[in-house]
Amino acid sequence: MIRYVSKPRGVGRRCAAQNTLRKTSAQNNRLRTTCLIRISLIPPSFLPSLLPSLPPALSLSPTDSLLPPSPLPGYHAGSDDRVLRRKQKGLWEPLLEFVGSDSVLGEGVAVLDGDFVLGSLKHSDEVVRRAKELVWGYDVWELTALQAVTMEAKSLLVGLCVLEGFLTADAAVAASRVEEEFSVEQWGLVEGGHDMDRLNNDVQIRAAVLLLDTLKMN
Amino acid sequence: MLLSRSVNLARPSLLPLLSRPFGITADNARVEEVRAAAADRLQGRVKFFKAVGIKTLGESASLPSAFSPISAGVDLSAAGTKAKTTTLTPERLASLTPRSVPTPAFHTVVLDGRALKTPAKNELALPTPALAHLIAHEWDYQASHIEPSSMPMMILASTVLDQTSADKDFVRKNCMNYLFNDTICK
Repeated sequence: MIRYVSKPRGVGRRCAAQNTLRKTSAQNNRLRTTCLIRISLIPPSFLPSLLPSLPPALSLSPTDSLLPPSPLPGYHAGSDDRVLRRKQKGLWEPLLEFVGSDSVLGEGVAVLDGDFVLGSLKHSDEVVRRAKELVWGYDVWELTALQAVTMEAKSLLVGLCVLEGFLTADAAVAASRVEEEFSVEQWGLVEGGHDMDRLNNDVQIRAAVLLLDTLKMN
Repeated sequence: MLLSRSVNLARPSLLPLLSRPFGITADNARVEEVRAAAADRLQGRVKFFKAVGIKTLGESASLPSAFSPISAGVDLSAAGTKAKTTTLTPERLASLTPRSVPTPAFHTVVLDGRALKTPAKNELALPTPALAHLIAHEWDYQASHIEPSSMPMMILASTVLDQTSADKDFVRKNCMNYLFNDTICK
């Protein structure tokens, strides 16, 4: 029998409190027991040989939601991932081509395809300079519309495409909702969740585009 | 030991931490200001006007004003407080002039003959009649109660007049931050 040893006092207290409840709800206790019985008994020298047999945690890394879209190097993506990637490319590649043209940001926009990315994108200095030049050149009305689209699409490039007249409202909405719409296709629409997101996204982006249109109607 | 005993959500010193959005500083006095502004919000209140119209800003300058129920800034931004009051100086008008309309005739929306103001009590100076018409329609569309979420153009215009024009660099930097984590590049 292994004696329970909890180093941080908070964990001990939480476990004690859980023991007074039903056993099925004692999550902390289970984690602690796993730590003490399974992991601590493995000698460190055995760990490398055991790595292939530790799939539960490691096998999730290729599809971790923090990481970029599949397919990842060395990872055979499922058909769903390939379909999503195809949709993303179909909608985003024309935008990247446009912003990569000389009249907008020029070459040097960093695009990462299939790599693990946890840091920021490394755009060329020229791209950053031209982006600043564009953003600093907008008036307050355009700037507010840019911010609305950028924040809604989580992409400055989509915002610039709208401001520079390359994207219509419909196309901007589509480009900003690829993943969620794919998820709706695959798993169905969650009432009060997906539909509200869709509505909010639609209203925000269309209002920004309409604001830009009114500036041309004097 | 009960966790709730040590955390009193109503304690004023914790409120800024709980409600403050990123990048915006706040102290207790500011929280009180925002609370007062939030109390002034008219969301859900009974429609208080009958006639909606637009006028050029020159005509409405001498009119009494109506406080806008749209509160884009109850998030502790300047728009949510009543502290800031600006008037339409030539410099202010110049800063609101769009690139596409070099000499705009600024319009505003009037409710029962009273000129509408933004949440920060700025003049609702709209550079084109088209935008003024859109916002007037949003107000006219209100049924028995005011619903600000059904007025996206009013919200955008208020954001321009209260927030973007007050600190353009903040908005520019906010936009630029997205470039380095742009969704369509990953």
